Amino acid sequence: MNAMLLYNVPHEDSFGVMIALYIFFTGLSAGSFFLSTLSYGFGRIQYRALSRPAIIMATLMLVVAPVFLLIHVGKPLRSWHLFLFVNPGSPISWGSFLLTTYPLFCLIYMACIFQGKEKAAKTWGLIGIPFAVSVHAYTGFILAFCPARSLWHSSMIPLLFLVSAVVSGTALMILVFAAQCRWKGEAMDAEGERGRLLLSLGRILGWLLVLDLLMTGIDLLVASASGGEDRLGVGVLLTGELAPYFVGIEIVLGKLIPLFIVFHPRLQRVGPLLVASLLIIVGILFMRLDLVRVGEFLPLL
Amino acid sequence: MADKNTRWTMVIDTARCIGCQSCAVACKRENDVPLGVFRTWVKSVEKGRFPHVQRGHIPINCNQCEDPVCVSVCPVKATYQREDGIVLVDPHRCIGCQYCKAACPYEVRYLDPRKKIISKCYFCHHRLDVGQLPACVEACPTGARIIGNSKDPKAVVSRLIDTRPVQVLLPEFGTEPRVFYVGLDEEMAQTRGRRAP
Repeated sequence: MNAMLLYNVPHEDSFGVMIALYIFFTGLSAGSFFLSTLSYGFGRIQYRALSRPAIIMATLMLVVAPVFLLIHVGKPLRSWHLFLFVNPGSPISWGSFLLTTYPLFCLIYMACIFQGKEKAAKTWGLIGIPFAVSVHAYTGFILAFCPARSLWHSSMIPLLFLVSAVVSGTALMILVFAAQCRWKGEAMDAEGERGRLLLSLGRILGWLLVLDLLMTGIDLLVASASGGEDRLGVGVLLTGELAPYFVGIEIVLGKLIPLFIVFHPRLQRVGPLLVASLLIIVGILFMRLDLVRVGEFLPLL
Repeated sequence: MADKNTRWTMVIDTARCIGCQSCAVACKRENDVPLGVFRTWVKSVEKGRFPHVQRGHIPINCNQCEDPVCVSVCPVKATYQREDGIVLVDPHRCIGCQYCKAACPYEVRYLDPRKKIISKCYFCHHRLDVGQLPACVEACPTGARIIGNSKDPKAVVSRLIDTRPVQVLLPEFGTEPRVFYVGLDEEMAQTRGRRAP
């Protein structure tokens, strides 16, 4: 094209860092919730020790997350409008109800666990799962409902958000559980009970990372085969201005190196696993930032 | 005036536009648009290789889409469509979440830096409702902007749309814009702007 722009009005980002952080923290919350229900909801007794710290983190992260929304919106004192004037077609409208009901389920489930009510904990844990799924998938729908934005308008996004939520939640729980053991002065060697638990979580994490990488790859591959916005967005991520963050931090540092660590037979120790978990959390944070930024990076006019 | 027998439609003749930005200035005065944001402006593009070059101008404002994405994504129904097709934002209801601004394929919405709510071009509905022309249409020195009721077959806009080759911006998103361009250069329309610094 031999055309050169002489004058246009520059545009500011609509969502930016605050929404990316919000998505990151809801992801951590939903992911922790899934881990917490492994033992009470699905009978995987070996993960019982995780249930308490996981549900505490799930609730805590969901208290943090909406703060970013309040910072982002122009009129935070009008938030009650969301409950009075509902638009069933808007994902933000779904989210305002999910963000109020899901913490309630978290609290009820947490109370059941801490009072040792096995049956009730199972019921409330299983009821909470669809809410945990929805509360994170809806953030994907927010992006996917913007037809003109590069890489946002994809049906893969809500699913990709769910997988990365579980990835980041699992990595967070590995760190929290290890910190809890250190705090209590409990041994975490690879042969011990806690070490084995952590390493088995590490293997789950590895397979989830494979799934995450596959979905990201499929999404980018299909996007690069489309015309227009999506292909330009892939270029920005792979070779353009966002490449250091996407390829460097998100893919290599946040996914490939941790994948190598959790599957390498000579690194089956707790120390390397903690490094991998930390890298994964950083990687998922950058995944949220990259995805929100790439959609707004390309001016539409 | 906002009845269902009216459909306000704008036709912009790009061959007439000289890129003087009078419309942008008139709009700012009429609607008290704050510094740094615009409801309408003229995008200018140069194309070709010397000595065969051409400069083109594309006036841009809200397309008042028939099927607006902004209305369907607004979580509080603050942005809505009047019966005559004009898309408005209720300033008392908008919470400033900027979802509509992210979803709009034309980037014609802005967050008012003073009021912290979303605003945009309303085709100067307050003037149309009392029988006046929008500020940009009235200010244009070459008559490049024409507004009228496209449901009236005798209106100038209807005649132009019926008899001239007209285009809309980004038709692929299915929003059915109600701002039609005569002589829009596809290459110029697709030349991208820049990001805010």
